[in-house]
Amino acid sequence: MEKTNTIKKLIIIPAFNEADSLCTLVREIERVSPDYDYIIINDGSSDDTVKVCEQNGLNVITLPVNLGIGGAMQTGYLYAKQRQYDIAIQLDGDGQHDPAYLDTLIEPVISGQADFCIGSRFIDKKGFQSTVMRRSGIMFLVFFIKLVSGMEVLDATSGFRAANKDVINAFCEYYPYDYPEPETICVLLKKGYKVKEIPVQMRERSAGVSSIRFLKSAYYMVKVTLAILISGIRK
Amino acid sequence: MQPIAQIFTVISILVFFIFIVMKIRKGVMDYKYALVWICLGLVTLIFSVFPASFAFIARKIQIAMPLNLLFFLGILVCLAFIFTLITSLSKLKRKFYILTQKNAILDKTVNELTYKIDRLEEINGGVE
Repeated sequence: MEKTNTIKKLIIIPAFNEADSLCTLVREIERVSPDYDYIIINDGSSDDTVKVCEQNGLNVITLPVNLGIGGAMQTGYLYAKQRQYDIAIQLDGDGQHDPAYLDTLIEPVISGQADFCIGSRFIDKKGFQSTVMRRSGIMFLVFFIKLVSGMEVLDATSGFRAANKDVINAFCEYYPYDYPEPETICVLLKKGYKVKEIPVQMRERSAGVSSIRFLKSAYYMVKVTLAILISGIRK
Repeated sequence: MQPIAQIFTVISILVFFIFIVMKIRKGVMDYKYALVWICLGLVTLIFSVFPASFAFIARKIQIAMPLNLLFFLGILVCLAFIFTLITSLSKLKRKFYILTQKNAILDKTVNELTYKIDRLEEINGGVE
């Protein structure tokens, strides 16, 4: 247990217009897992995210323009690299991910079982399971990821994930700009990193709307499928 | 080609040249891109001075009408330009992202340092 405490852990919280849920989330993290540092990446939000962070003294990096989830997450990884963190955990700003699972999520990374660990809601099939439409979309992506990388990752779009130092460095080098989650899995597997999935329960988002809206879903599916297939032949 | 039409095209191309040179003088365009436009202008100039040469090429590659060859080449050049533009746009986007990210992280570091300096000055001021 003492060993765990000397490991520097950073929670990266990408946030775009999620002022309402951020403060609750950070207070929850501070209460449940006080030995974790956190950094909010405010991705050029147009609401009062900046104000909320300043008023509550939250630890935040504000991107002057909106870069999208990929650019925001990479900023977090760059920060983690600069401050020499051993483990970086992505946790979405909308309250979907339960900080209570943090220790479970990083356990395989600390023990060296995996370089990258994904919190999956589809292993135990408990908690918020998303809509039928979205689940079938995810299954479709899972098929392609397996085709390209040979590994079955059930919750390919999960944004609750922990990375060790090597993976942080890899992400600083390359991170997809939009809809990065499924593609990053392929990129890591192709580079020979060990990826593991562990069961977690997710909650329904407490505020804000999902960044993937109905009209965009078709484009999302095509773009991500293409990205997965290309990651198989990418140099 | 009728002589008047020929004079008209040659003059248009010369005006185009003057325009390009002015743009280069103002530093609006990189030499790299200016070169492409100048080459394109030269080729069109040659063909408008010697229109027969263009018809000759069309005949040689068995295109019935020279006009068809002209459209084909025109569209090809346009597509090549669009392709180059999108490539450089993607490169620029990558650079822009890196700059934005580094800038934001620097901003954060500066804020932290400023805060620490302020605190130190407060403490020192209190002692004095």
